[in-house]
Amino acid sequence: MGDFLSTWLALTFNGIAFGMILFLISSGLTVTLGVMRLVNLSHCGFAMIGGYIAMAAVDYLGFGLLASIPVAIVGTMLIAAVIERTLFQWTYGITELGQILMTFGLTLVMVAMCNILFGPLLHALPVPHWLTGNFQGGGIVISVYRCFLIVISGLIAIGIWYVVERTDFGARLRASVDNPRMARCAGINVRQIFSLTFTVGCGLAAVGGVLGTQMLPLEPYYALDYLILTLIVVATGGLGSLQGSFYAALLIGVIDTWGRYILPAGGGFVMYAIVLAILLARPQGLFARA
Amino acid sequence: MPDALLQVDGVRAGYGDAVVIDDIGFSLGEGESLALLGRNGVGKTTLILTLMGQTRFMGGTMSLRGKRFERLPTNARVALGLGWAPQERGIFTSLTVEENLSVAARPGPWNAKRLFDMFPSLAARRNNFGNQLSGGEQQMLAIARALMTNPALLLLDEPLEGLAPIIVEELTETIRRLASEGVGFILVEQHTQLALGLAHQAIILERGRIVFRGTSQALADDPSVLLKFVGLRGEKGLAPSVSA
Amino acid sequence: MATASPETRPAIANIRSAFAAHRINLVDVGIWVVAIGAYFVVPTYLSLGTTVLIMILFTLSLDLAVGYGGIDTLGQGAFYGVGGYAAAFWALNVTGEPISGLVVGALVAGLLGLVTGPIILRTRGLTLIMITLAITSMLHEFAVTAKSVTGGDDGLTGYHILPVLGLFHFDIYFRTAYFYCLAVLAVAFVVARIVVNSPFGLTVRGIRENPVRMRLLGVRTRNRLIGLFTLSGAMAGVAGALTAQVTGLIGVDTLTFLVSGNALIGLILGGFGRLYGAFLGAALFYIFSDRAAAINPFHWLLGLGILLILSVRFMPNGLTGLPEQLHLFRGKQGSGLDRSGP
Repeated sequence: MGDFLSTWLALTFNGIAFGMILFLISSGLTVTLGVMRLVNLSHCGFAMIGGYIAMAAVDYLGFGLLASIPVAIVGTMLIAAVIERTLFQWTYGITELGQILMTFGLTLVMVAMCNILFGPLLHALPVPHWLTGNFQGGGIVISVYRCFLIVISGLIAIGIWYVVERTDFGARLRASVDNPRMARCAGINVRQIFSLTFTVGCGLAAVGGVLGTQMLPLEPYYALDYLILTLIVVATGGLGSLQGSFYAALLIGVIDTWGRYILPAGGGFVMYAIVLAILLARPQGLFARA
Repeated sequence: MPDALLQVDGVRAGYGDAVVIDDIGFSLGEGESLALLGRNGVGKTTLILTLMGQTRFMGGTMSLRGKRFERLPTNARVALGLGWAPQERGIFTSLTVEENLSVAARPGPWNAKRLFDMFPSLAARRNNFGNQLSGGEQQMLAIARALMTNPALLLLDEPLEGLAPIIVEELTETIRRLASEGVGFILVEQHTQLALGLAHQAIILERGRIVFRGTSQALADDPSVLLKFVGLRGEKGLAPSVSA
Repeated sequence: MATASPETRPAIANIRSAFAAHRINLVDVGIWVVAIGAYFVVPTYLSLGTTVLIMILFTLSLDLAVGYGGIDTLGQGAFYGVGGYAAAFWALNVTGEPISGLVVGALVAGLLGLVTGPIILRTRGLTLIMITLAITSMLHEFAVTAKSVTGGDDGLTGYHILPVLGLFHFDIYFRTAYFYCLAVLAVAFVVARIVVNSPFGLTVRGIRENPVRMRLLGVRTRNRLIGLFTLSGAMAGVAGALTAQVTGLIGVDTLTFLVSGNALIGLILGGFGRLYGAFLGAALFYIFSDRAAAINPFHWLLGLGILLILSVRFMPNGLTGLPEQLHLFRGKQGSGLDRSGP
């Protein structure tokens, strides 16, 4: 019985770690969808870009994993800002289907570019020496790195919460998500808020991409492989709801990890089934805004 | 001669391909007020939305204190001095009352403290979320929020709609106070007599065009005009009186 | 334009008026000339040609759902795969007779549409897309897992298809296959045309353009859309069945959203809501992808990505919508990607 319990605890723990990474990656997407109602299929691509920039820093500049994070963040945010100012201007005012196709095209470009630059093989970023190994106690084995992941992601999540709920900027962001038209009419520069949030969101995705390579290894198709997962997190949590994304990410991370354990061949079947059930019961997501 | 507060000439606007208002021209002086009247669907709200930049603009010019703004994005118009309390109120439901005010804040004499003094029921609910307010409170919040932008010109779209008579009285008093403090405003209101009692000037729209432009007094003196375009005989409500 | 109770008019007259309603008849004739001519002109490419024909059918089915019904689904692959597996099953366990296999594929896929339609169509926008993705993914996972039934990753194979109508044997040069698929495509196209120009089809288009208004007019919008969705699914199922029969193999890669994505790309190239847009777009896309992917798949992806971006930006109504786009700034037909209104 103790064995059973420790297995389930370990699974839950791993599921939470996975979920945290999903949250980091999806947080930007839910705000993009919430503020600008823009269906951005390329979002996962920015996580991929972040991962690859970090990899370049590690391979060519000799950086450690942690040192490569700021490099990845800045690099990804720069690329995101440029894309937002240029390509995304074309996505405003067209239908959802058009946005899907256009951002999907962007994703394909990202995939192709990463292959051209980095080759098709899988990569995981090296875990720093002091984070390797496991904690062992009471029959439970927990990876140090995953602990670290949960702590860091948790801190970032708290940081996000603070900015959104307790600052002026956050209030204006929430107003823009609530009612973009009224926000403009109250003098809020929704355009600017969006640019900023989008860029920061891509930076967050980059962090997720860099930290998560143990679970989501880097390869050119990364942007497509995990796209469904990201979309599911956002749709289940409710568009525009960061809180929703957080809980949905954790839920899906845990369900997926348990699901694969119960039905190893079934892969994501359990997860998809549960997601389907959730979306049917509450089509607007668990924590949707009006 | 000083610039008019608002100068509108030959404005044409609508949605998509549809023209809703056409050949709109009028002006409003500093501290003056205007009642915008007409039956449902003639384009009153469209005119307000066009001033705010939320429709498809098809021609004409609009200036606030001499500055042309028909090409400015909406939030720039607010910075220029337009404040809007919409018909649907548009309260931000994920924000508290206090936050609803703070996000709209711009420099000027109107601030949160002054507005809480003016609307004590809002002050009592300052930490409630937008969707926890009654209809009347939401309306007050919408007007207060518009004032937080310290506008040169306030646009009020049916502020009294669907409210209990007591609240209607309270808000009417508020608007009268605003008028006496020299805040210029355009008022769209179905309670025609009320509107005329609050505003100096009046414009009647019919099918997107102006069919009457003049003073409220003139409309009060000749009820046939109102009858023809707005379709009201006498109405319960305040007797017409032009505010100072 | 609407005549009184057209249901009472004889069927032939209905068909005639359906063709008359679509004014550009020369193009249609042209398409069939090209298709038949290809058989004689490029006899060594009939395998590719057959694939193109099947994909045109698949894209056509997607156009019914997306272009006419306004149902933004990324799950068309589910119907394709399910139809294919059903036909493979039929050939393996009952009979290798091909036409009955097509019927089985259509029925099973149509059944899936009928069952999932009410669920899916309760939602819209991103949620709808997500649900179609989830269903497709579930089916994909199921197919991979249930090895004993579906052959898992290896797929189903080893069945023998009997000659069409007892006369035309399937050969390794795909000669029979080509005409078989062409005939099926022709029938499907006629059916699609009749449907979209019928009162049912016009109502559906009305629903796409202004759902609120249609509901206020008392039209049972949900039911019509479910009907259209089922039909579109059945057609995709036929495409899947054709693939299973013609290539002798059906695998799990049919149950992915990439399959639907490819068809969507075909439609953006060709144009939504104009049935022959599917022809042009799918043909272009699949021929190019076959040639280019063979050279370098990643360069192909790059080109495709750029092509998508530019197409959506500059050609939202596809190639078939280009004449309209160049003459009028706003085409009335704008079924694809233009958004207008407040």
